[in-house]
Amino acid sequence: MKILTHNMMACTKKQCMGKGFPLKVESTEQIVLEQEFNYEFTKNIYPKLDWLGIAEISIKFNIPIQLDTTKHSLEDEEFLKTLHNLLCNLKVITGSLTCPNCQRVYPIDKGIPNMLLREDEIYQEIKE
Amino acid sequence: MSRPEHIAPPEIFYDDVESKKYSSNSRIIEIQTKMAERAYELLAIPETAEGLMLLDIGCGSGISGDVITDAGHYWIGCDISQHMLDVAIDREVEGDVMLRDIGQGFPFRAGSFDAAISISAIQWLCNAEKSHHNPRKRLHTFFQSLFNVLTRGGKAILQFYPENSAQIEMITASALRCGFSGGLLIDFPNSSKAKKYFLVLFTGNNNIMPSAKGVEGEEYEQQEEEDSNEVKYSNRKRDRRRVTKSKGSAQHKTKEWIMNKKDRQRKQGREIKNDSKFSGRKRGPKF
Repeated sequence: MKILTHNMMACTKKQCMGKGFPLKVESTEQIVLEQEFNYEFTKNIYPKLDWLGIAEISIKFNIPIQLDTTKHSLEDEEFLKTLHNLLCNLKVITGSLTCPNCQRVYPIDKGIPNMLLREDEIYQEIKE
Repeated sequence: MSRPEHIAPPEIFYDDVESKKYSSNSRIIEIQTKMAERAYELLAIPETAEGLMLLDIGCGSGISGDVITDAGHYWIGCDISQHMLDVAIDREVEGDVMLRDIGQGFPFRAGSFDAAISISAIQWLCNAEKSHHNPRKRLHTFFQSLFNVLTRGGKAILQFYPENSAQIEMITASALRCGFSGGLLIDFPNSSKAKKYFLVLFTGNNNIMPSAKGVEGEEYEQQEEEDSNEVKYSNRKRDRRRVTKSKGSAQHKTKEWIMNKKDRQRKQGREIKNDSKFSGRKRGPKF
């Protein structure tokens, strides 16, 4: 699981709708990839990011990044490179994700987060 | 055609053996790639756009994801089969994958994705695999969640294999109820083999429905454009009849047919009897 995916993720248990993020990451094994810097992609993804999640990751994995969103500039290539590096090159192989709202733990194995919910945790609403 | 969804639930059907097929069988790979390319084409992402965020629903071993990667975009995939995802990891796909039942919705923040594609996945939602499964509810959760994770102005192209018209009705009705606009698009409606169903969904309004491939007869296409919000079914029998009427040659052994043939042969320089009042005339009954 890349950090980019983590940044998009949220817990969808019925009591967590809209507040089940950022998930807390515990990692026992992670790898660093070497992907080329993609300017267009980083620019497109920027408005979608959740900076609270990035702040937590930045502290957790000790990757310094400018967290003050008012000081960000999309023209600053150095900043975008650090951001891309954080999002796309850090991959959690084994570990777990914990929902900050309901404390539900989702295990990560072989780089695949297991997000399956039990029957009683599913959010369902139907208007017939 | 065999239907895997009648054999076992997806997480069991796509076991070790079945999943390996998806990385080694060149025919499966070719078909999946073609459908994914068509789905991508239907998304109509402008060529200048690069580095978008796409969701692959029922990504499996990531064959459809490769098409997205080739187009220069990033993707995240969801699938319910652990074995299929293992294959995807082995193949070192560019995108990220996660284990998730799409009938439970998507575990993402709202507005995370620019577009979504799905190849041969959503027909699985029409089957109740467990005692607590209710296909209608699961479809509703699926579409509602899909609507939420897409950006406004986002698109979703979902290719699927419906079993009957009731399933088509159930799926499209559920999608439209969740706020999507769009409808069903059928490629090659007159062919039993090449026929493919695509559910084309928009989160915003005022979108132009793309036109289907391999549709003969212009009337059909015009109808499709006129009101894209309604679901169209192709009536195969009617279509075929229209084609023979307008395009086909004159019926065998009629006067018109004989005259055409004589003309044709005359042009070829053959020796042909002159036309007379007896040419192509019916013979009376014999004694």
